[in-house]
Amino acid sequence: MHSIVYTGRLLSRAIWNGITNYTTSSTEAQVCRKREPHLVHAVCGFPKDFTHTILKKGQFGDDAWFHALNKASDVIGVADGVGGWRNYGIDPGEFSSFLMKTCERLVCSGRLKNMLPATLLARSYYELLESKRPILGSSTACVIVLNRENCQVYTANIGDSGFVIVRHGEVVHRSEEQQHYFNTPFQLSLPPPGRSGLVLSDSPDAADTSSFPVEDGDVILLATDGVFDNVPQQLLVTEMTKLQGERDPCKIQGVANAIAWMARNLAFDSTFMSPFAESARHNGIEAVGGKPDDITVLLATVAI
Amino acid sequence: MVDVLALIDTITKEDNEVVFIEQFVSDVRDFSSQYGSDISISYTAYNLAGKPSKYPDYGDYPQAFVMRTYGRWWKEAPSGVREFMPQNQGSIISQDFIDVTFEQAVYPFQVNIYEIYNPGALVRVWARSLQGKWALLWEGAAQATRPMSRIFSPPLRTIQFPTNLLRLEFDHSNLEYYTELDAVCLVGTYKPFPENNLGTCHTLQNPVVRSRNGSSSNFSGLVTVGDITNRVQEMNIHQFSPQVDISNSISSFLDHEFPNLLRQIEDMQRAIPNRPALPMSSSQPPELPSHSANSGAFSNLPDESILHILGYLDLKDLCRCAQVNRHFRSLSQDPHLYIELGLRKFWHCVNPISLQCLLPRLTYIQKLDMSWCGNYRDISPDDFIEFLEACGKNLSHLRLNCCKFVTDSSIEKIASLCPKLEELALQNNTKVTSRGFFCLTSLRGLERLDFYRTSITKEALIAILKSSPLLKHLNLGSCMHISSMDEVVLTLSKHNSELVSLDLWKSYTLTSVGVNALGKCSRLEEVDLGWCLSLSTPGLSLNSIAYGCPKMKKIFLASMRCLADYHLEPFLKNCSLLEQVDVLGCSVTADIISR
Repeated sequence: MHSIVYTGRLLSRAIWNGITNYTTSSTEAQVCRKREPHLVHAVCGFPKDFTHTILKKGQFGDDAWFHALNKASDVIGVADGVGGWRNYGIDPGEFSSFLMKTCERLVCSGRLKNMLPATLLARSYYELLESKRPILGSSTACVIVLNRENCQVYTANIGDSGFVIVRHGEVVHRSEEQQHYFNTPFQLSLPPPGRSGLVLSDSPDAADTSSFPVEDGDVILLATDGVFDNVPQQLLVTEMTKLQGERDPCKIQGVANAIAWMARNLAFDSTFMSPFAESARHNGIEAVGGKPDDITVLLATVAI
Repeated sequence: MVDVLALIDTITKEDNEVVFIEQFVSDVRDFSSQYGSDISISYTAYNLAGKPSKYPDYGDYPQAFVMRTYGRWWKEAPSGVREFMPQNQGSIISQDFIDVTFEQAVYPFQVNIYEIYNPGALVRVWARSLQGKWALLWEGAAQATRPMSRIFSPPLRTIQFPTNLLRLEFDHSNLEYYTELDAVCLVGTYKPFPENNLGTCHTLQNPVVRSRNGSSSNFSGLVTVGDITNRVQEMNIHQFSPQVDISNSISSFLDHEFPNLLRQIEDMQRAIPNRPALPMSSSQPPELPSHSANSGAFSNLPDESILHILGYLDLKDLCRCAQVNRHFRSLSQDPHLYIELGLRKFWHCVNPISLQCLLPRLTYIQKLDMSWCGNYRDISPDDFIEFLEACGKNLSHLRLNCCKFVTDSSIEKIASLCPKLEELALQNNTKVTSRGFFCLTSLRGLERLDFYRTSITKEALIAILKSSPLLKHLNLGSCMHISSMDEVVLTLSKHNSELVSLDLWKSYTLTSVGVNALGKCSRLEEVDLGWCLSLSTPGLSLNSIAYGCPKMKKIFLASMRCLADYHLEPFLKNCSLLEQVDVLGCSVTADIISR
């Protein structure tokens, strides 16, 4: 008799536990749904030359990228180290990756609320000067900040990396390329001593900035010139439209992989009339085919 | 029935289980110095917050917390300062501290320090209770260790209160180069662990506490923190010979007793309200012969000799002497013993009560060091002003580094109450504005000014410099509010020809114009131009220093990226006394350094 009472008590306890477990999990799910605006993102990329590069986190060859999140903002960025420095014995990837990593640290430290991307880039650039070991080189950079309070994106772009924002198959906002002359983009740089006069160097204030209100489901592509020089915009838009409103990181990863792979293939296609070749022709250079380069694709959807 | 027993068993097990909370630093509340500047995030104190970013890598990284100095260089430089009452320092000294907070208050079980460059500088760990009481968790001499990154988990004392604020003290005087810290992790429990259960805690610790960092290259696959502690102890990185243990425990006993003693003394004074004022000089022994007989053989000695002996004692011992008998009490409180007073070592127990208690002995005080004292509102600005009014009129040296109670009004009081002031150190006192600094212009005898990390402005500084012709040492490191360092240096070269040392660390507004002007300060022995980023191409301005300052002993040129051999040649020719040159981040060949 006693044992029946006890088993009954155990049984009811088990059921009660089950219910409480269930309710806690469901409230957690609600918390998830109530989360503030953020970006669901995925990254894919290829270094130009597989054989001579060591794969590092946040880097594809000389390209570098980062994603960082704090209470006020969700930030993504790419940077493309200028390859010409290799001739001087300088690793161009170091400059770009330091720039991006410092941006990430600045955002994560959370001490600077609602920082504009141009300020972020400038601060990051000045951190380069603060490093004990001189980090030399130069880099283009593009940073997008999603302000989580007013759902605006703020952008800053120096050089020929860039971004495209697509809503229902239409390009609603995109970056403008900044070039001194053909194939020579604006760039942040720290030249080796004694060469400062000879090197192109743009101040972080030269960044092209913009702000744009985003809506739920907008798709943002942030990529280096390895993508934009090789893949025609229409192809990019077609791929990105597939992600309208998508929140599954796996699907976003799939499309990012597809775009990166497309860029990689077109870059090594010597018969293809790439955007780069067209631009060259505008400048009176007879060119055809893709432009082999490091490729970084950062794809994100806005979840509000 | 069997079921019931099993159930009870699990319940009791749950009751006995100790939950360990592992948290990294949520914020850095205070610190005494940092390598980086406030507008940057490289090498700054705030890098200690959050999870380790570089561990287990070993090296010099901008992501770490780095302090301003290391080794003996700074102490022995012309600008080096002497401690007041050096006997107070004890065997374990410290030069820097950092205060870190955590999200949740816990009873500390373990503190893990992630050291990623030149480890071994940590000497003390303090915990602050929510009521504002400090307790020592660990103390040990600085260690000489192998150059590899490590997690240092000193064996902690059990304390009876939960804490979310730790202070770490460092002694980097034996290091070859800067020490760097990546993160600090506090492991603790919500409930105090009962003494008799400590054994079970230890056994539980391995399954419950898990280190979050998976990478463990240096420690060959160690994951649990407990293992690391054991391993560190096996490696004998910190050697705990029994002797050291005893002296530690004695000193800790004294640390805890000291404030009590002060309180007792104060109570005694209250008990005898009509007691005559303390003897002003030892020539009038106030005690009756019958009393001095209590001092045994000491009574045969003249008071002057006893005073001389007492002069070697530190503050703690003087307070203990006061408890021997009346004779000793009156002698140990003789104002002649307190002409210098260094309270920095006792920052944790300096409060308005202890200051009041010390006050009767400070009639003749000239040199006072209250650095690190009275933070977190332990001493209010009014308390300090009251204290200063009582004992400040003879002050010639005053050090108030990292004292949060220093405000504009305190500076105003200092300027009006201490006309003889020669030295004033105000490191890290960010609350003082230019209004306060302007008050200092009324002081004429200033010889040493330390304004490291203050918000002094160009106008206030120039006014002070013009009114202090005797100035010898000036520290303007990391003063971010000076709009033109060139004008400051031009003023210096005109009005302060006595200048011996000048620290312009991280003066972003200094250009070659200012450096040229420095050449006119012919007595300069030490100049720090580290990280003056507008100076990265010094041109020939350094030559004026080389030719103008023949006594130069130490020159810092860190991060002058364009510095080349020909910039340094004149120094080799003209400055025969040169001992230390910092050319970090410069393009100088090894050849010239070897010369």
